[in-house]
Amino acid sequence: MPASPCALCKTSRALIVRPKNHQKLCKPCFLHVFETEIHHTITTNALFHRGERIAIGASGGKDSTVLASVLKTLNERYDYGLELILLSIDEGITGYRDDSLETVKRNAVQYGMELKIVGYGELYGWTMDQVVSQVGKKGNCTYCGVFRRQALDRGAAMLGVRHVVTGHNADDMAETVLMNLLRGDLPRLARTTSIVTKTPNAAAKMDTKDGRTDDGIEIIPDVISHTDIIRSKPLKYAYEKEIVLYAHHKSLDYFSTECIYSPEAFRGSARALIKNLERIRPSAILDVVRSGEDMAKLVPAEFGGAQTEEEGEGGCGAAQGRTGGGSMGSLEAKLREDEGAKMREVEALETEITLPIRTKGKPKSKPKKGAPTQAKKYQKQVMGQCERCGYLSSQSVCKACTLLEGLNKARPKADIGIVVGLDT
Amino acid sequence: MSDTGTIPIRLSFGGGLEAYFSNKRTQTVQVPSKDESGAPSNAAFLIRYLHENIMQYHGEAKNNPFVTPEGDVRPGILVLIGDPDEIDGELADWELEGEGAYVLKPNTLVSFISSLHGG
Repeated sequence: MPASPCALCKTSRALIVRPKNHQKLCKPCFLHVFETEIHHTITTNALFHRGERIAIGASGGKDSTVLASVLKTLNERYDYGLELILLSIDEGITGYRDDSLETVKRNAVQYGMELKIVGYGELYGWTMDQVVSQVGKKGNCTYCGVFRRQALDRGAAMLGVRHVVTGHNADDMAETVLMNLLRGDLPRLARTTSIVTKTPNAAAKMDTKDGRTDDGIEIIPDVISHTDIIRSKPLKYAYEKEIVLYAHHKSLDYFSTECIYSPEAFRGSARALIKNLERIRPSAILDVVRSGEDMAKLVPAEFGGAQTEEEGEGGCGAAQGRTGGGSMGSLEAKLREDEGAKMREVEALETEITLPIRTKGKPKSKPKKGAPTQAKKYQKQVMGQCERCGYLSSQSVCKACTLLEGLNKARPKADIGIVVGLDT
Repeated sequence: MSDTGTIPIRLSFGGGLEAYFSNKRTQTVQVPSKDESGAPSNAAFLIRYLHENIMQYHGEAKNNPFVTPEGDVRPGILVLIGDPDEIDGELADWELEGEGAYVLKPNTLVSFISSLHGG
């Protein structure tokens, strides 16, 4: 085939076909357009402010590596005035995460960024290897997802950073929209499609700027601040294909291996569906994302449109939490007390993404017997703090502490101080 | 090139696919210059050939990480082609090269990058 010229510069040979509009671009034009679109996402959504310290949730995988590279480029090109830090979670999965963390360590050198690694072992007293040896491979993603979300917030708090960016891309978002549609979970759909989510502080905010005192001394955050973290997704509208091509054409150093523990079956199916749709109609991915956003507008704010979530994101496969949907949000716990609870529990078992079965045996979690079958009623979320660790929770004890309790009961001699963070 | 000859094809695997190809990110394989029907080998034939002769996979066809049961490259795997006649030496989206219909040349570089793993 004769080479096609680039649609923009008309001179160089086109190397890339953009999935969203079939535009054929050469390498320099593609790199520039890709970066400019991320810049556009950042500015139109006012994601950052000058002087802000940003933690990049970095797994060493393609998405977070591209995110770190692009943010570094844009921060310099447009003078955002950001301080960028890499934040990695070590789930404690030998042969998987330890290898990918080596990639992140190289990235920290390549990009000249500080790197903070927070481990499940130090935070919870359990590595994922230990969790899996206890609970088996089935359902372990629940633990990983719930733990990861808190771990990122705690890691950010340790750094004195209030804003974490993650590498969720358009394909991830489309998957999540589909998954929540298939579960009939509109409140959750509304929360997860939002480009910015917050874990609002239940207590008064510290009166500081950027986690420093007026003298510029960094404040070691107290237990409150890990419930006051902003999350955003600058790659939300970026196609996975373009992220991979960007990484290829920029020769970025990233790690790519399947997690050695069980994949999420439900997400895998949604993923395959999205990829099949993309082959037939590439614009479908962004169309699903836009549809999700439009549906989210129809959900009243108090049911999820408020863009707040409690340990809601998670899931399996990447350090920064593959996408929302790995673990049901706190609403799920509330719903269990509602009429529709039984049906939802069945769904949850099938998708392996809610709390393990044994926690459902608690009397308070049981669905009301003999309740009339009605349409699902969504209750408004009432946020408080976990009485054990202080993390934001709609229950008296947060999901991570509930999971830990189950793990520690089964462990012959429970470690003391498993809920680290109380004293950090 | 003789009818029964082979041509060297350079391969590159990324995104985890290398695990099924001797854990080598790059390798050169000799591929028949003609396909089963005697037509010059193209990219679609290469994928078939790799699947049947080079790939190390013993699971079920429906779970094959490289090709679908129909023999197509699995959606989510990018195929890039480095045509030896292009002086820039860059890899292009295979959609720009005719996809499966791209006729292989000696020393064509074909790159398969999976985007299916976590990030």
